[in-house]
Amino acid sequence: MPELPELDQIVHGNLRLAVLSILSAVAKADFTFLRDRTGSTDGNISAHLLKLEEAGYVAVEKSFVKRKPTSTYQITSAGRTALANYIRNLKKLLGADFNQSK
Amino acid sequence: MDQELLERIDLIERMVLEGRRTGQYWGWCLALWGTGQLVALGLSMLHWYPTLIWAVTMGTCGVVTALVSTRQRRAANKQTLLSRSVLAVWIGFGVSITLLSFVGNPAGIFSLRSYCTVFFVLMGFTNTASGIILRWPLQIWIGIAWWLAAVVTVFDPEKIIGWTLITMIFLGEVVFGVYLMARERADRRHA
Repeated sequence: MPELPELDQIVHGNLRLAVLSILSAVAKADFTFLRDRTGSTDGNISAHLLKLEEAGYVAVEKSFVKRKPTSTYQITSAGRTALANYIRNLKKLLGADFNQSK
Repeated sequence: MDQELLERIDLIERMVLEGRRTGQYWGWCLALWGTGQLVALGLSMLHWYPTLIWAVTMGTCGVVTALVSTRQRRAANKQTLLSRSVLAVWIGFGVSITLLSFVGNPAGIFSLRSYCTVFFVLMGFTNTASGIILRWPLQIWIGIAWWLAAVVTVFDPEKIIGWTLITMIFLGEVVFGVYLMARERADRRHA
């Protein structure tokens, strides 16, 4: 029996997965955009973004726009690879179920 | 367990769509064609060669759309399956309505009522298909509004058909296009 792949626990978190998925489709996104699109709260998304940043999956750029601090996030190549691996492993785990559902 | 994993796949698809929807800037296009049609309608009511007015106005809209969208596609440097699907639906609509307008109308095949009904049905089909591809309820509802307008047109008194056409073009194209442009502008500030 083939060994089942393990899922990357950093990517596996619901909100972290949502953030990485959005960032994979846009060049850059700021904090407000990510919070609104994921339907999260400031405190919750901050903690998850920090975790992704520490894992090297997203890069953050802090700047001031109209004197207000703004954080802009971008997926890194490590983050893109992690997301691609996660999707591949997810499909492997789902196996027949996934193919039937499609 | 499998259900949870399937939900993850669904979450990824939804979020990627959220991101890609942000990258699809086409509100200007709807507003342009809507305004073009209203201008053509206004000028043709003055009885200045209506066929020529429609040909020139719609031709201008077509050229502007082709130039701007080519420039946008080059700038984006990629075309996704999603954007290609939506483009395919709208190109299909564009070719169909052009054929109907410039072949069917001058040949006298259509009355204003039948032409408006066909136009509304096609707009309903295109908006609903695009809304389903983008998983966007607002556009699906707009498609349904076009279909409802088609049904209403069948029973409209003759004098009201023109006003139904103007109202639908104004709300379903110009207002919707301007709303999209405002939303896109807000998105660009954040993404």
